[in-house]
Amino acid sequence: MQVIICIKKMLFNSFEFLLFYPIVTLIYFLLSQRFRWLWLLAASCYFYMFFKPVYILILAGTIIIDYLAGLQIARLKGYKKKWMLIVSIVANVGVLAVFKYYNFFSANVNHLLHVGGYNFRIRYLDMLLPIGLSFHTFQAMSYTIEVYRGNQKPEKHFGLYALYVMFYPQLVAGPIERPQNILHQLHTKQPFNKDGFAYGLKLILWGLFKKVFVADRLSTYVLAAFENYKNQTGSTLIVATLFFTMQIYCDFSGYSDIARGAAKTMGYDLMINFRRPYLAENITDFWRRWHISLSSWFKDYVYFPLGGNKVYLLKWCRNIMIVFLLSGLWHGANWTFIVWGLLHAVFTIVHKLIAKPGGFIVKLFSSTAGKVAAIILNLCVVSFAWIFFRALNLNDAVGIIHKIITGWHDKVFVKTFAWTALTLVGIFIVFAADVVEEYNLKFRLLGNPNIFVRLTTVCAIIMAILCFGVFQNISFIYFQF
Amino acid sequence: MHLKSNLIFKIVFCLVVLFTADRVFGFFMNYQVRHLKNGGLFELKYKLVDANPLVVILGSSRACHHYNTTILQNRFNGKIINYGEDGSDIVYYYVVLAQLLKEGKKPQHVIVDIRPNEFGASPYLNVVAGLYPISGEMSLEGNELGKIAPYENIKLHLYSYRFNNHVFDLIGATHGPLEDTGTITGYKPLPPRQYTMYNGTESNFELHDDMVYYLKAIVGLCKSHNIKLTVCTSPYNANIVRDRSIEATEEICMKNGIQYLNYLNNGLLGLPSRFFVDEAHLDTNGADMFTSDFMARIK
Repeated sequence: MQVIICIKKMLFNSFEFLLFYPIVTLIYFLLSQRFRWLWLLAASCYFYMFFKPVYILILAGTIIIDYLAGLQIARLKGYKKKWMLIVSIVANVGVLAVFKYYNFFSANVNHLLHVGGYNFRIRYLDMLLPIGLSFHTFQAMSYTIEVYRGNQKPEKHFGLYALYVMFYPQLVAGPIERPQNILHQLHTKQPFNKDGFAYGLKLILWGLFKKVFVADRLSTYVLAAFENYKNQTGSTLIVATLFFTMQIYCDFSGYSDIARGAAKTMGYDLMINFRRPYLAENITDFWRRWHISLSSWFKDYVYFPLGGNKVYLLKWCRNIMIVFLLSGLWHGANWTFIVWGLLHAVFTIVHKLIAKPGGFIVKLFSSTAGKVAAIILNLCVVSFAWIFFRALNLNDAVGIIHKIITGWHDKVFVKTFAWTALTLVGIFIVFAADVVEEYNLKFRLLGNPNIFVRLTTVCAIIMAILCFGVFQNISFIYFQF
Repeated sequence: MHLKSNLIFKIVFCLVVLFTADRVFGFFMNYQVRHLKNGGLFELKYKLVDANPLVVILGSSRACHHYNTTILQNRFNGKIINYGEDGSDIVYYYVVLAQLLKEGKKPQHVIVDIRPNEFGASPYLNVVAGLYPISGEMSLEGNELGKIAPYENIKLHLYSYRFNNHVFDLIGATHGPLEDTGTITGYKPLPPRQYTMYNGTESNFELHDDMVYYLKAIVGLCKSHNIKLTVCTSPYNANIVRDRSIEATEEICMKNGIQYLNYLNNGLLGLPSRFFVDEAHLDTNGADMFTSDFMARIK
């Protein structure tokens, strides 16, 4: 019996959004500049309240605190200024702690109490995690930190500040914007720009293709394999792991593309969140390309304040461990995410230690064949870590790895020919597009100078989505964070 | 202004091309449907369009694997078709019945298999979407389904969406040997597997009123078309203390004078665990025993 319990939210791949987006964009351009922020704020509130209306109060609470904190930080000096920053950070982290980490903390404490033979139990909180909580709290924190550092003037217009946090395209799954990038855009009139509008639509279409054609098709295989791994062969789990590697990329980068496209059509530039991450040649390079808005957030607000790489080796290792531990925790309150983060820390440290500039390893991978080998090797390493990210718990992750090691030579489960063919075609198209962009090749379809090639490609993608897209209302993976 | 009109021209051009492609594609796929020869969609089309069953069995995978139509044939003189479908729910059962009636079929007896927690989860509309290639607009006429999925009606104006993810199946099913419609009954027995003991207790889920509505709608359809209705909950390999869906089913059946046979917790037939392949499904031997017992009890 297959039952999918849907929590109502406005997904970018839903029909609700297909109505919401053009209405919001059309009215946005019909309004004068004076009212545009108000319209966007109202639309963003509606977008957020589609999930659980009452949670808007939590968001409103943190927005008010951070807005007032920003004004005070700019006005105050010395330790008072610092205290205001701490108040703001505590408020944001506090909301995260209650909604995201409290039950995880309780479960672990209860387990320890049980092991210690105590009968006392901490109560769990029965509530849903507000969507995009980690994203908008981090975005809010980046504002107060930047004001504290003097890189950003405090925003006096409350509505525009609220819009900075709540701007609907990036509200629930990023990119986690910086105030320097977005606030000034919200102040400026964004005239209708034909090229920007067309580029935005193309981004939306491409993001939708990645999500509906590739990621959601892969998710059916991945779900069956990971959540019933005991009945799967090792080789099937290897394939499922590689599929999940592609699924999470197409899912999250697809979301980011739609978010950037939706903003771009209204004239706003959101930061690029993915830069062909699976073409990275090493793990450090991977983190320069994957979820850039989050990795740069940790770099700017955690890694550099800890000393960055301008410290002794041991201290640098500590810094890397802290950053990746936090990154893992940011993703979710589960040991699997913590292990995933720590694995990346270990990979990064090992890479730094063995790949010294001018050294044997670097020379080995410097040729074209070597670079291809480095990309494949890095893909394998990243995929291995994804096992922990995808598994329901650590026992499952270890079980899956054990099965992979002992049963890698068993028969692979293959779905229907049509499913396999469409999956491989989808993966090929996404990889090919990344390669074309990475190496600046001339073979472009959506960006072709010939208008008929462009329009035909657009129509072909839409038809492919309609004929072969998976419309099962599958949520974006990063919505849960 | 020129820039805007240029962009509008491109958008209109795209829409025209898309509309044309959608219609041409739809025409091509409809042709495939008319010439189906084998496969799952062929079976579905036969059951929904070509067959004229006397007895209709509606339900999920449990119905599909539990009701042996050959055994039931001893009780009824006429075609019996099992419409049980993996992963389906009460919305699907309703839609199938509505479609059969729309096609002018006149079954005399409808048997609906209700699962524990039948009304405890949101409708799983993707299974209903699996019927679209055969008949895109079915049961949407009265906008019944539209109450749960208001956008489905709009989406079906696109012919491509109707055939979504069935393209290869349809093309494949128009080739190859012609399937024998005489053997299509919808009953799919499960082979016995190693004995496993289950001792679970179902959770007490909340009711979804939207889902309860569809059982009432089935009752209404049967009444208005003068069709005999029997509701049953076939055996389940778990100790279910209380289930709100079962309680709601009992209440509706009692209110409407409908026979309800509840096999939960070995109430009517004490089938040991070895006759199950998992907690929810009987194996072929269990299905035979259940169907025989059900046939004897049915009024």
